[in-house]
Formats: sequence, C-alpha cells, structure tokens
Amino acid sequence: MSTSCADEAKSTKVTIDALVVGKQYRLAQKDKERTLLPLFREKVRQSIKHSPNMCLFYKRMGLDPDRIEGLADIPPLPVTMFKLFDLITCDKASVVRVLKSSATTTGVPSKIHLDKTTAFRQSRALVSILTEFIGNQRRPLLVIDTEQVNDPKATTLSARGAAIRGIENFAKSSTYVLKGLDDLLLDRDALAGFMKANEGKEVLIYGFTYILWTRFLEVLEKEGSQLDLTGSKVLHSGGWKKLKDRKVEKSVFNDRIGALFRTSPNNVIDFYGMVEQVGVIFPDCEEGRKHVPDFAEVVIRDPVTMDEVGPGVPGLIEVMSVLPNSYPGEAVLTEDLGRLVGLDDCPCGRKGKCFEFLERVEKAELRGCGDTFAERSGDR
Amino acid sequence: MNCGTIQLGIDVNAKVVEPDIKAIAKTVKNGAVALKAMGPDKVIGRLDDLGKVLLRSDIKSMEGVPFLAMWLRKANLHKLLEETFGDPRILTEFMGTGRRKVKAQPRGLACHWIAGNVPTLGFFSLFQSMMVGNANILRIPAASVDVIQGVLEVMARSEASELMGSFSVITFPSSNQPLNESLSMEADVRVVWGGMEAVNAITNLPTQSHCEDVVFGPKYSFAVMDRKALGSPKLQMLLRRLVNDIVIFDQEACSSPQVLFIEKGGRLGCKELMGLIGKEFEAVSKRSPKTGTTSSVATRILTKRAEYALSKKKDLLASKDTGWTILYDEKLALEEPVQHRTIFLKPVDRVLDVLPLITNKVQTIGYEIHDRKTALQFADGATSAGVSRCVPFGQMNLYDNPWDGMLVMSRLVRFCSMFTEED
Repeated sequence: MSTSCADEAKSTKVTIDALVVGKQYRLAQKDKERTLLPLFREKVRQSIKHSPNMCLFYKRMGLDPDRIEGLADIPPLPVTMFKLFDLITCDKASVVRVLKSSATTTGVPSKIHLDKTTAFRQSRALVSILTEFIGNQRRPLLVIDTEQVNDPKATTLSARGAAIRGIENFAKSSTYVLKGLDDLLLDRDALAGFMKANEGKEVLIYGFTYILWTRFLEVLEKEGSQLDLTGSKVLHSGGWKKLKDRKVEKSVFNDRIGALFRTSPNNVIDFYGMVEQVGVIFPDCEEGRKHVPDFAEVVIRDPVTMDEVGPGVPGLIEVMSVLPNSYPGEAVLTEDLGRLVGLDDCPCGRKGKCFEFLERVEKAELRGCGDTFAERSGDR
Repeated sequence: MNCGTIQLGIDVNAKVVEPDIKAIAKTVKNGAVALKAMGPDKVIGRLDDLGKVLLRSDIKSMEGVPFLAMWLRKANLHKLLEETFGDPRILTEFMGTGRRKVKAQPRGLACHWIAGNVPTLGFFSLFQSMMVGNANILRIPAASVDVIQGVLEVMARSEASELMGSFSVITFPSSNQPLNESLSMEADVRVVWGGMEAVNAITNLPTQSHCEDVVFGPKYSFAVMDRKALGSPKLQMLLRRLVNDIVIFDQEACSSPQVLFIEKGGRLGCKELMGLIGKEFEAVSKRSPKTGTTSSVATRILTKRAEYALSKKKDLLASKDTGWTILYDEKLALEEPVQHRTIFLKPVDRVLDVLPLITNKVQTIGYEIHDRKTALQFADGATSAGVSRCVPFGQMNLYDNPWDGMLVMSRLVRFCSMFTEED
C-alpha cells in the first residue's frame, strides 16, 4: 500500500465513525459525494485485499480503485451473490456472527459475515437513523413476532431478527406477542400483559409488514378489538409484495393499523432495508419519501445501460454503505425497482437524495419453446 | 365473421367479448372447401405471391419476416411437398400401383396454439396446413398481435387474400380455460408450440377422440466447433454466423444456441476466441441494438455475470451495458439459458465428449466440425441420442423440413385407402 493509501485508510475509520454517530441527512449531495468517495475507494481496496472473489470481480469488471472518480463508477455486486459465495473482507477469525436472509424466494439464504466493527457500526447506524424518526426516548417495545427469531444464543440471525435487534436499541423492554416459529399464533396472555402495563401510553411497535397484517391485525379486527396505545409509533418492514397480492394499498394499511392501535396513520412508518445492508434503513419521511443517511448512498441504475439515472426515471436500486468492514457491502445491487424523487429539496428538510420504492423485479420465466432446461436438468 | 383477421375479443363498444369458437370453426370450415378445391399447386402460387409482396412491404425488415418470405417461394413449398409425400399428387388423387390406392385427405380443422417467443412461428404450421387443405384457427398471444396483424394486412393485398376465408386468428389470455377447452373440442388436429407448461396445459384439455396432436414442445439448442474449424481462415465469418444465430428472436427460440463447445488444442486461446466473438457481438449490436430488455432480464444477466466474475475457474467478457455476454467455464454441461445475447463458452478435449449430454430435449446443434469423419460420427451420435437437426452456423433458426423430427404436413393429413378393380 502506498503512503497515500495508508493515510487514506487511517483517516477512513475516524471519518466513518464520525459519519455514523453524527446527525443524519445533513450533507448536501455534492458535499456528500466528496466526503464518501475516498471512503468507498478504501472499501474497494479492502475487498480486493481480503477477498479473492472480490479481487477477481473488480478485475473482471475493469475497476481500478485509484481511478474511481464517482460513486457510480464502482460496479455493484448483485445481492444474490451473498447466497452463492461466502464473501468475507476481514480475517475469518474476526467473524463473530453470520446474518441470514429469510430465503423465501429461492430457498437459499444470503449469508452476511459480521465482525465486531461492522456489528457495532450497524447498530449505531440504526440508532442514528431511527432517532430522526422516532426520537431518542426509550419506550416499551411491542414486537409482533416470536421471540425465537431473535435468539441471543444463535450464531445466525434472520432479517426479522436483525431488524428487531436494531429497534431494541430504543426499547425499555421487549414483549413478543406471537408464538411458534411456523404458526405465528397470537399469544393472548403476552398481549394482555403488555396492555395491562402500557394501556394509554406511547410505546414502540414493530413487525414485518405481512406478519403485522395477517397474524395480528386481521385476527384482532375479526374480534372487533382495538388497542389503546395512542401516539405510539408503528414501524414495519419486509416489503409489500404479499400484501399487494391481497390488494392491500399502503394508505389502507396505515389507516387500519392506525385505527387498531388508536394512533395516527402518520405514526405508521414503513422502512425499506435488507439483510445485506443492515444498519442502512430507509424509513418514509413525512412526505412519504425515503432518504439516504450520510454514511450511505443510493444509486438508481438503468437496467439496460447500467448507467445512473436522474430523478423520475425508474431503475434498479443500488445501496452503497461504508458500514461493512467484514463483507463487501460497498455497492450492492438489489432486485428492487425505485426512482429518485428529489435531491436536497425534500420539504421535510432532509438533505441528499430521496427515492421511492416501486416494486420487486419479477423473476422472468424463460419463455416459449426454448424454456426447457429447468425441467430437463431435473430429468438427469 | 372476419376470417384472416385477428379477433381481439373486443367489440365496437370497446367491451371485452369472447370469441365465439363454434361460429369461427363453422366459418373457416366452409372457407376450406374452396381451399381444397383449389388444390396445393394453386395454394402454393398464392403463397408465393404473398412472399413477394412481403419483401416489398413496409414490414419486410421485421424480425422473422424476411425468412418467412423466402420460405414462401414456390420452389421451396413444392420441395416441402415432395420431401413429405414423395409424389404430391397424393393430395389430390388416389395413388399407388395395384388395386390398393392411397390418398392424403385433410384432417379437417387444425387448431394452433402459438408460443410468444417467435411471432412468425404460427405461419409455418398455418401455411403447411393450408397446403394440405385444412381449415385453421390460430390462437396467438397478445404480444404477437402486431407482427401477425402486419403480415395479415400484407396478405390481404396479395393473391393469397383468396385463402383468407379458410383460417381465423384469435387472441385471448392463455389462462382462459373455457375458451381453450372450446378450441380444443373443435379441433381435428391440435398444433401446439410452446414451453412445457403451455404444452401440458393444452394437451391435457378435453378433445375429440380422433384428434391428432402435433407438439413442438420445449427444446434446447447449442453449438459446437472442432479445432479444425477454429483454425479455419474463415473463422471470423463462422463466428459472425453463430452470433446471428444467437441474436435472432432474442435467443428465446428452441433452436437458439445457448452454449458453444470448442475443441481444445487449436492455436487459438479461449481469451482470444472470446475477443473474436465479442467483436461480432459489438458489430451486430451497432446494426441491430437489443430492444425489450426488461429489468427482470437485466437482473438475470447481471446476476450471471457477477457469478462468473467472482469465480476462480470462470471468466467472462461482456459489453458495458447488458447488451451481450460471453461466460466461460470448463464444466461439461448444458447450462440453464440466460438468453438475450448470452452465450456460455466451454472447452472440451474432443467434440465427441459432448454427446453424452444430449437427450431428446436437444433440438438443434449448430456445428462447424470440419473434420469430415468426426462430423459424421458426431451427427450420427447426436441424432441417435435425440437431436433433430445438425446444421452449419447461420442456419440454426431457419425453419426447415423435417422440424422436431417430423415431416409436419404428413401429420396434418389422414392417409386413406381404397381398392379398385384390377387394372
């Protein structure tokens, strides 16, 4: 490593930590790019140094880290690669935990290797982001899930578990109100206990979007029940695909969830995130837009040219983050479509890019009479 | 009833209406009486004129149209009849020596379910079915309407307009079970083009007990070159032809090559070969830029590229955009197609090593095996294992006879016999 690289690396840690703990959404886009560029260059160098796979990847993609002039110059790694490869960018011995995705689509989970530095940054980053949306006061947390998804002894953690763990940073106490990992049945005793202690109070509620709707709201609505938790914030994540299949629109979701908890629909906050980029979440602001924290970036890419597209143009969402030290999360290409809706100009006052999530990319079936192979290879 | 036009299932008040299959069947059967009376020679004459008009029309450069126009040439259609029946007079008179004579009669109503990957596909089975005197109904996917409508409009301006009373083109969603059943129940022969799901869905529909099925089901195709071909001074031209085979129909046809196997030991390295293929991809991309790349297709391409870029024993060469991709590895296998200008390149010790991969699901092999003895051995082994066609590069997607191992027109007639008094 040259002297300049070493200097850059030395200063990187300080800068990342400062970015993570600081107040978010302050950097205007130009300043942000200037701040992040050297950090991402160093991330790429680290991936090349520690991961033979990433070294090959960048080489074959024709990337020279010294010639990265803009964030979009870094070729993104499709998110599926975390299912196919063990991608580690630190000493293997430093890995303390492996996050796993829910594996609902392919049956193969993503594996994200975390060292202490990454885990700490992710946790701190979540706090920095969520403070901007729910304040920093600790409150009782009602978890619409089973405690089994957040087993402290497990060496692996699902996306649901990771989200709960992040939100627990804001919890005085946690109460899980579903039971059975497969059944996810309402634990009425646990719910009754929580309500007895917290009725009429402002609490924090979290659940995966689909679970919150089908295993909690639908069950209680059927009974005509309401929970008096006026003023509480309801956070949810995990995507809309299954609910869209059931024709549930976001406004309907917010209204009915708000009514169930006797809180304003504005207190129902959807956030977008993924297990491959824990620590970087995108809650909806008051204007319904998703903002990018100062330690991360979002690039919307045209699926045909792979060039970055400007506001209003739909494209593949790429999430860049400086948080990961132990896996190559510098530029991850999702299988989601989104579009930029603003740049430093959101009425909510947050700076940088803001975007909206449009939909998951549908898996295209091979069409026509050339579609044979999946069936054919099964024959063999 | 408008025969020879597409019935979109929408009435004048823009209300969705379902095509009346029974009424359509009755109309086209009536129309086919004139077709049969006309006889194959006159039908061929009309189709030949359609080919000529197509080549002068504003849709002449639409994908698949130039080949369709050439295929419609009188000489080609006569050749098809001869290859299929020997003496084509068998379609118009009882033929044979001795007391027993045989005549090929049309089956009646042929109902065709056409796949969406190659819009002009349906015309090949339609025109062959017309030549032997059948009435026809084509069910086409909505995505093919524009191309087929274009051809039908040209047909209406040609001498082939006379034939348009004998067929009808309809479109409705493939999920419309009652219409599929209704169409199936009218059929004397069902012609099915499509993937496994479509083929299974249609062949499982109720039908008349005498109904014959002609299935052009899911198939896989690949290409192979021996070291002699790789050392040929015409190598660049061969690769140009191969790339044309890859590019046409977005590589979604059953005859589209998905893998290129190359024999090791030539003077050309794999990297060098990838560069030469890439050069042809670049050239073709300038001539006919890829269109219709959805985010889903792009994701499939990008994912596969990344998998190869991350792997130690693999390599790739690709355009900066998602235009074309060459994926190199040494695993002897037929890979899941990525399509859309993506070819897997695999070295093998000997071209004959590929033969154990072949099953009857492999349809076409584009082969440039310039060692004659090996070529014969390869073709015999491949066709014995299930392959229908071994053709030079550049001809993989040319619809020819036989197709999928069938002399198609022979499946669209009934061979009927009679006995006469001794001559």
